[in-house]
Amino acid sequence: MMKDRKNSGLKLNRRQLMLAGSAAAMSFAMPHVVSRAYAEASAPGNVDAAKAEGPVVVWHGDQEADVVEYLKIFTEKTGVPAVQQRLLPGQALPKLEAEFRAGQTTGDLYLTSDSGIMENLRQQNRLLRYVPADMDAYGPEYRSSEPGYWTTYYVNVGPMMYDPRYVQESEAPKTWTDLLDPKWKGQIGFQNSAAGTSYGFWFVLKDILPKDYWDNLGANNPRAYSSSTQISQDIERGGLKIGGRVSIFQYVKAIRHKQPVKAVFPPLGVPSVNQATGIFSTTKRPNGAKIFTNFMLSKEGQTIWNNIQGSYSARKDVQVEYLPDINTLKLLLPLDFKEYKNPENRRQFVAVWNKMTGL
Amino acid sequence: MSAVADMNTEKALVRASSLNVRPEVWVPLVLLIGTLGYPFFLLITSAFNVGDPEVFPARSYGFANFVKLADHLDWIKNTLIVAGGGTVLGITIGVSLAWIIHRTTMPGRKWFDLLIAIPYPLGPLVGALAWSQLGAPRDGLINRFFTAVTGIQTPLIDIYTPLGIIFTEAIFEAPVAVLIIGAAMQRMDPALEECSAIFGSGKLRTAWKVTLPLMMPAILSAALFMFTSMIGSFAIPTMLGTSSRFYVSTNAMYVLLQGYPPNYPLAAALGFVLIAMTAIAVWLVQRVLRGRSYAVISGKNYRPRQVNMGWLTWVLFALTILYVLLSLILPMGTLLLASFQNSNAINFDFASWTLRNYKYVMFDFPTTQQAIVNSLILGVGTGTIGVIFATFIAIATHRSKSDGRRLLEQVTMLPQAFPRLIFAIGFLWMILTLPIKLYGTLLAVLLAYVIVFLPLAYRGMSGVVVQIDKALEEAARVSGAGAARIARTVTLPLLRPGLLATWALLFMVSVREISASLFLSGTNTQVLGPAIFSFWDSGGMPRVSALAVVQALIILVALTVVRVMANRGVKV
Repeated sequence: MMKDRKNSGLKLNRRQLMLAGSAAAMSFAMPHVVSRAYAEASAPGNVDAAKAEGPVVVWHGDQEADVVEYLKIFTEKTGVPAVQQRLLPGQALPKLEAEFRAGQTTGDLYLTSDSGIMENLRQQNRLLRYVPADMDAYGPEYRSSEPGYWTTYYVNVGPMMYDPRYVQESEAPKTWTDLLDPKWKGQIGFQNSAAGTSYGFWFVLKDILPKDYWDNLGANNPRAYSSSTQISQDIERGGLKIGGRVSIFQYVKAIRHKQPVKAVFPPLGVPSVNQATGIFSTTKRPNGAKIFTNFMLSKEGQTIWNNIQGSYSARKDVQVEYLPDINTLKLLLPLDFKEYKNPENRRQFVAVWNKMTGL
Repeated sequence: MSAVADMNTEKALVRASSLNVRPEVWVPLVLLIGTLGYPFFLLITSAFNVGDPEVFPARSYGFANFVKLADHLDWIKNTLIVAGGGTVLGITIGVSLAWIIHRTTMPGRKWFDLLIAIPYPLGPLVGALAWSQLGAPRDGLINRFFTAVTGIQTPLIDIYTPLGIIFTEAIFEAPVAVLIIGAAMQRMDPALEECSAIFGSGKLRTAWKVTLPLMMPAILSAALFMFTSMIGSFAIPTMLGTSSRFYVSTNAMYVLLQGYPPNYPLAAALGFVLIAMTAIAVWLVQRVLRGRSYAVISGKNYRPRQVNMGWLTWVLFALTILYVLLSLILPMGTLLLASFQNSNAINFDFASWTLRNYKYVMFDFPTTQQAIVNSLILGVGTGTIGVIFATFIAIATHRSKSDGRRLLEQVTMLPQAFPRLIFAIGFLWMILTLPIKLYGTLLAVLLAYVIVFLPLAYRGMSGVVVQIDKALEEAARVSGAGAARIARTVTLPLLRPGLLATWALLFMVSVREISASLFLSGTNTQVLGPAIFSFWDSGGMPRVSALAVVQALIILVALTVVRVMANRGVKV
């Protein structure tokens, strides 16, 4: 039979002919179909329509004051009103789950330190694809694999931090392993297991550091804080000697306030996470949400945001005062998103982290 | 066999036909079960959920979550330590202050009566915030002062310890004990104390051997209230315990719910244990009081004798001042100081002080303005609806002849045992499934507040309703007054002091509410508690202190207005 077919040369029956014709048409049309989908995803928001939609609702886990300041400027620049609510993942996701099921969503955009959550939302078709004008300014490590679902609005680099008024520079830890020194017992602070930055920290270091590192670190009784602001505050007040992982913007804010803090970037690498922004697929204000995304990821929006926050932009053309040159740092970013969003890894992290911080 | 079955059926029919459940009982009962049922169902099913932790309602059931809890017995042990220790200390303070204020001749009692009441409405959030700056081991103001005076570098106190948490819980809950025990002391028949004095007992011995035992129902009632409040207390353990690795049920539950994926089943199992602990506490109190007579409150209006304690008066005066200092003056003073600062550390360089933080929280930060307005609306709404509903239930449970009164009372008190974090999630799911659009509105938050604070309102109104002699209403009826006229001219005027006091209490606890609001407030329904908590989390000490001072001022103004209103008519 196979032989017969091979010998039949160009002889095709009618069905095969139709299939071949369809395939040819498809292959001819495909680039146009893809580019049309891309064009639809790239369709910009209309300002008048956005104003008619009402204030864009931004859910985020950042410092509220920073977001409020940024939204004020955003509205001044674009004419689109916006409001915010600070919701850490544990608050945002139960709400979101319930809202999606009931079809009564209230938020339009989500800004989070956990790009793994964004990947999950994308897989659940809960994110709207929108490709802003400046998408090419973002490297592949700073956006969803299919661009437009989520993009990094800042890179949250997490060095160690201390205040030289309370810790001599010579005795301060220089490497991650230095944190195991018993002299720091009860004097190291991390964010708790609810923080996306803690998960990112563990994820990028788990295969680099020895397997028993976390148990050994746990023996030093690290303390859990709910935010990096809390850690930074306690360092400033002398209640905590070492911030085990502190968001870099706390360092910049402290320097701006003329506090003598030091950031330590271990040579092994500095765990960093993508702070990702994405639009909910159920947004009731799609025009406003697109305008927000477009502005946030533009050079202007990135300059404004990262100067307010004091953090690194994922764009190479945006610089912020007081931040060490990012090119001198060895960043450890989660790149394997299949593994990063893997529930098994998350469960393992929560167990390790809670045990380490005494929960 | 058949005859026995027939007899049983007949008995059941007789029971059913004799079941007399009247509308005044079944209407509120149905309403309460309707609103509490779903959150309760969610709690139970989640606690036994051994499948996907994010699936509601659960599909596979088992005891695995309770087995897992066995690895975290320290959470339960710590909860008992804090709630037990806090209750013992709080009751000690409460009994002492109630006795000093109401049964001695100490000067300035009226002023102290007011000052002692204030820390409760200020709330645990303000208390924890203030004491974190007063009692921090390194830079707490008390330790800085101690080091400056003595030169000793070792801190005098550390508020981030179990003892510190117990202390903070106790001083901010003690006013409730003063209120409950003080009310009983004022209505006490002094005859037994006079007998004791006649037989030669000294003043302190009489207080210890006679007054205290007679106050036992009020003391146990206050202790139960404090214990259940402290079991569910969220702000103090979260703000003072978490960073020092001290976990009680609530701050552990908060982290479990905050993480991704949130661990609802373990949090729900923990919530289930909290409800069980509350139920055991209620059962124990009832068991202690059962079969004993504490007939100190009768229809007669007693005015118990006030005792002149001689030179001890000044010791009592000093103790009262110490309490006001620790619970009101130092905390508020510290928050005021912190609110003028440029950085997280408090300095006394007046030149660097600023009002910028107030400008920021009052004018530049849109959330605050919305939160203040919403909290005021919710305070008024919760006070008004809560008082009406609670009065209706109190009248039904104490005056109605209907069956099911006890059940109504028990269901009314159920939210007191419910961990609010869990309740809020269940409530959120419930309102989302309703056919009417309630989600994301202030009305939804209001409804949740009314349910959450119903036990408090019921407790307040129940105490008032039970004191009103039915004879007065019956006299009006005999004189020909209709039901509406009796209500307007007799019942309501008699209820007025209790109505106002309960309204004020509900207003204040609503304005300071935090744990339920964390999940229920939305972008357009922001309220003060979560706003302050979020500022504490991410905004820095000066700004959060300024916001806490603003919240305290709102509460104090409300308290003053209610007192003025009450003084025009009756005393609150």
